[in-house]
Amino acid sequence: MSSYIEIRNVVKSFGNNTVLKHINLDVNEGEMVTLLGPSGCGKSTLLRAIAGLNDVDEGSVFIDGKDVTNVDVRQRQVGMVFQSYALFPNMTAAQNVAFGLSIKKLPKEEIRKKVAHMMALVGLEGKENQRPSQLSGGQQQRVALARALVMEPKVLLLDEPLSALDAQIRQNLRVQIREIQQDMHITAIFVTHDQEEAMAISDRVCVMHGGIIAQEGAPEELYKLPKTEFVARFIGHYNVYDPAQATTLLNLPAESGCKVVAIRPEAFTLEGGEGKIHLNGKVVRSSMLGSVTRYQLDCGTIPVNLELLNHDTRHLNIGETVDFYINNKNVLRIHE
Amino acid sequence: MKSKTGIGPKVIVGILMVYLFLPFFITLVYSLTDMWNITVLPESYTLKFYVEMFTSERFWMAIGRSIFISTVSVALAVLVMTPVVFAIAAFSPKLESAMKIITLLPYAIPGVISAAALLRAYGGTDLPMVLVLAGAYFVLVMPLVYSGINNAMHAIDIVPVTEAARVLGASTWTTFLRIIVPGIAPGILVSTLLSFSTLFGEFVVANLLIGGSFETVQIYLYLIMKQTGHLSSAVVVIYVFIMTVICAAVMKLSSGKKEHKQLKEEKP
Repeated sequence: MSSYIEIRNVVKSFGNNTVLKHINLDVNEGEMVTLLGPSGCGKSTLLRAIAGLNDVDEGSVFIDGKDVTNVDVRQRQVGMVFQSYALFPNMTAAQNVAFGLSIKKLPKEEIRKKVAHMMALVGLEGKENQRPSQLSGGQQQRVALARALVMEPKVLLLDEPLSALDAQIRQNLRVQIREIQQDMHITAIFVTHDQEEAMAISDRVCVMHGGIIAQEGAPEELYKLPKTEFVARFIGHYNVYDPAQATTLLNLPAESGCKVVAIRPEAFTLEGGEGKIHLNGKVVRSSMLGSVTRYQLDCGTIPVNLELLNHDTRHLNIGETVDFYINNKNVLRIHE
Repeated sequence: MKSKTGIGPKVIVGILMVYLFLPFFITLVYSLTDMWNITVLPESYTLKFYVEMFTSERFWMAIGRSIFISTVSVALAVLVMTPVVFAIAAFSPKLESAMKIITLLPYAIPGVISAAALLRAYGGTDLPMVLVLAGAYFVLVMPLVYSGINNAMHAIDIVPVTEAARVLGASTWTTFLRIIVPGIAPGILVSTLLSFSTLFGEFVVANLLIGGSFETVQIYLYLIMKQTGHLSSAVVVIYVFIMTVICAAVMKLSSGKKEHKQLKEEKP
């Protein structure tokens, strides 16, 4: 079965700076894929190339089996939600949602029904006649979402839609976007630099770095099995060591071709056991993060980040010397 | 906590107000007097100069010409500059710095020089000098129109808004007419009023290019000053009144925009 969205060998440069380097990506129908990466990695450029807001220098973009590489943005049947909401300031919330339908010249009654349905879907009943300046950031972004969805696009593109919002609103809207996407079975591509957001919202995550897709996979797979040093450093709070540090810390023989060794902070335990590697360090810092506490330990000259669930009976004090353990299977050898 | 600034700033502001308003106050009083030559206070008061002014066809013609030439020039500037500024802001932001330099040029060229150059260029042609004056005024108000429209354009996050409209199927023209123009309407209005008031009070270029053959308010004022100071004072008072109304409208529109922005920022 061919994919609903196919990105084939896409290259895009701005002057001498090649932002997308032969990108290939497949997105299935109804799937939510996140492009995750730091600023300048090319994720927004790729999204804009799919939307048709940026042309591409090489390669092709297919949507629903049709080559849309040279199709104007207005004919691509994509919906887009922008980081800055991009609402039309002179129009009310309902008029914003109705705008695209009025361009299509649909009958007024049909527009009214569709707009009312969409406003209800995003939980904005009663706000129809308010202008963007009278709405909060979260409400504005929901209007933008409704404006995109009401067009029944083939693909929904979300360019860091939650970045400008407060933490609480961000989490709520994240859940709402995911629920709507799943309920409507919309194919969606979500761009973010927040790995937690990417993990929470996606069926599949593509980590981008330097204009390439460094790794793609299901959130759990990506988190547990980073394939490159960059992904290990970018995802979660992995402890990443060069082979010499790893040998000193874990007393393991160096493995040929191994570039770095990565260990998840929650993989360490305070309980020993058969086959576990014993380590010893002094607690130098602790950060309470809600459900877990992150400790930084000094093991000789090598720092180790360790996370413990807060319902654990044992809590570590700064200055305390601690014995802790790691199972060898949780020590990832990364070769790229 | 109440700040202890003392009366110093108030005294300074008071002196400044007296400095600014005293000449106007004396002009106002002078326009209401019949005789005020050798006494400290006027010897008698009258409204006859206002009656004379308001019943003078020459005065109304001058007002009409000023309104006409200012309106035409400002309308031309707004009609030309709005789509240009939109195109640059939305599609070619790199041209913005060049545009800023171009729009600052009128400040670098004094009115006398530009008027002399225009006379040299168009003086011997069949082109009506009123049209040349409108063209000169277009250039004169370009910085005001450009900055006002450009600021309003950027205040509505022009690039994503334009892109959002395109994704929704709107053409550039539809986007411009249905979203951009209504969105920046207060900015256009402020620019228009400021430009209008600038041109309404313009004297140098109009006098050098056309002079008495197209008597604007300022040229009329200049000519009657030679005849009677009382009448010219009455004209000045009316002129200041019109300018005050325009400035009040600009301040009202500007403060309205600020309040709107503040409300948006305060929302959770």
